[in-house]
Amino acid sequence: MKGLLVKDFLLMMKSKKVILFMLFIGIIGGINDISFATGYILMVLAILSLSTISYDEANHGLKTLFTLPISKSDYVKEKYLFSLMITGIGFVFVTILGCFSKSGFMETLIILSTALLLLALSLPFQLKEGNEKGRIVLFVVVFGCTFLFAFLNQFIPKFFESIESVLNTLDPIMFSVSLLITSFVLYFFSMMISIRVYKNRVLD
Amino acid sequence: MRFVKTYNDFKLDCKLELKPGTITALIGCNGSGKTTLFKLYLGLIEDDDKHTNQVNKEEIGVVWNDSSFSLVLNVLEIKKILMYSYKHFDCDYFDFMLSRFELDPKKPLKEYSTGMLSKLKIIIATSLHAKTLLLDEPTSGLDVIARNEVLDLLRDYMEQNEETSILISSHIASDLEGLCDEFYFIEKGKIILCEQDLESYALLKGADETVDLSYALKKIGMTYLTNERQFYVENYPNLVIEKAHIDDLMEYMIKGETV
Repeated sequence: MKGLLVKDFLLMMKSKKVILFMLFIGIIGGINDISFATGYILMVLAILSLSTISYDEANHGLKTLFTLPISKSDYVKEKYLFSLMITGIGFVFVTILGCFSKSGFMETLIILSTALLLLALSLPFQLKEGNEKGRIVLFVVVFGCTFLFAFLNQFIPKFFESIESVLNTLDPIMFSVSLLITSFVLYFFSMMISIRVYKNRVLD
Repeated sequence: MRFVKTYNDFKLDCKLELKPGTITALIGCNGSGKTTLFKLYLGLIEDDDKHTNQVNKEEIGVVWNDSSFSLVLNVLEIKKILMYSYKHFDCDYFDFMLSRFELDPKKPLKEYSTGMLSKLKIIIATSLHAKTLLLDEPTSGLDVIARNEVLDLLRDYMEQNEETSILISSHIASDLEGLCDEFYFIEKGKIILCEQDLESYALLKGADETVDLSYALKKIGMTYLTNERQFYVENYPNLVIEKAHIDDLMEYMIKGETV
């Protein structure tokens, strides 16, 4: 697996100009509103880590990759580990950034959990169907949720009011930490599902 | 080893043995099942019994003709990946081969020519000092000079690693005649011929009724393929007897009428 990690870091470095540009935008946008920077930077890094899958699959590349001494489940595990590492780096970066402006560390944790949940949802599709379909799933989920919330808020305001009042009674630290733990657990389950899904994948 | 795999319109069913210290040729047209056989051997696909072949990939070097590492990477980066992937990757041999073939380690692969890329893939496979090498059409798309360099590379490798088994698949048969010890001919998923000594095969031209054709295998028009060259040389001095090359064998075994 070490070879795969080295490969994915090298592949991501190929996009370093794009990454630096995104970080720049994130910092500028985040001067007033740190949660924008956090959300933006974490999402960008999460999606970039998925782009290594499309590099792998281009030009029948999987045939060569799987002549390396790795199994299908090694490949899947490495993708999850790599995405986690990249998201972790983004999280550290954003936390340091947050020290310079008044911030909610809790907010950062919640956004980290969201990034992990997004990855957990889209990685199985990316691995099964390839990059294009996986990205479509990602967008559908994000926009779908946004519209769903907006819709519910419009027509059933009481739904959100009651959730808000419940959330206000919770201890914010407990809430964000338990959300994070839940998203790690779901991330792990997503990996188990992906391993099973990838077993049936035809390597070409 | 037995390979069985059924697709919608194609069935592969053949037996093939790779022997140590032997270069084996797998010769067949496009679509005859060569790549499927490779994939089955490596455990990349499962066979009809839902069984995946378990091989130790640390000890196998593979060259595909349509696949390589990601083209945005350069050779130095690929070398790092290989060093971390294989326990027995030979960096010194790799570097020596790169400079021998004048391959630029800093250029990304997408800027390599077809010939350079093929040479690189073989250098990667041989740097593993693997016990088995599988080469899927390693010389396709190469000019004459590059082809000879590649074949020389393989000969040198066999001399230095005597216990290795090499399986080369190709439809350019002329490369393989001087190189290989054993020949498998594959057509539509079946092995139609397996021979070690091709010297005894010949084409008989201008055979009339006086010629004993019991040793003729196939015919196209009035030319016959036989595997008993010596018999005809000794008994019919006036008969035109030509050496049968691999291309001839393919043609006659596939398209010839059985005698």
